[in-house]
Amino acid sequence: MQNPKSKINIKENQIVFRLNSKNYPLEAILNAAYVFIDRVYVHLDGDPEKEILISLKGKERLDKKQLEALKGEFLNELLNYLLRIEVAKNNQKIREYIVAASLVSSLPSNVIAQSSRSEEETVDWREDPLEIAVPWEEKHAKKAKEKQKKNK
Amino acid sequence: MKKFSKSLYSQEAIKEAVKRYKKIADLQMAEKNKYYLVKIKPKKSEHNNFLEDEFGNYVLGLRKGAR
Repeated sequence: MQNPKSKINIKENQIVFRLNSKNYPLEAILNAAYVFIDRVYVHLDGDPEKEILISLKGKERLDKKQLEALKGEFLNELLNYLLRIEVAKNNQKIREYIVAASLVSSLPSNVIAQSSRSEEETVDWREDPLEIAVPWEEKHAKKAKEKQKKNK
Repeated sequence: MKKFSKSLYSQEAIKEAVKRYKKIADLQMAEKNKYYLVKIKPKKSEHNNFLEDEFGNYVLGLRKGAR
């Protein structure tokens, strides 16, 4: 990712730069901006589908170098949040599993035993209400015999 | 006049900020095309230089908190 071009306005005490939304999602930009709101005035503009314009205005008077450094810090923070988002995406399933496991373990033991017993009671592999285990010939032989009886 | 892009700032956050800033400023909210517009007139003249920008930060903070 290239270092984005910026415009410095010393009189306004601000630095403005644009970020491509494909590289930097809005969520990461908002999180990074939030980190800076105690030190600078942050303003966002643009289209979150294309390009976001970021304006950082110092609360205290800053020179050109300090404003450039501010932008650098902002971009570093942005990378930090990009990584966090990526890690969160990759670990989503395992986090869900851990939460589910901890919720189950927090249930009283009699509730767990009861639920597993009721499962045992409802699931019986020996029952065959749909006659899936009955061979095709047997099933249809019965029907054929019944038809013959009716015809007689 | 402070301009907030509709696609980046939530209306709820701006309304909430307007409510909270009423004690220290006279505020008017409007909409124009892709923007919410907020006219801020501080009640104390010593707030003139920074109240608009502080308001912007406040809205940003509310948006972050709301997610």
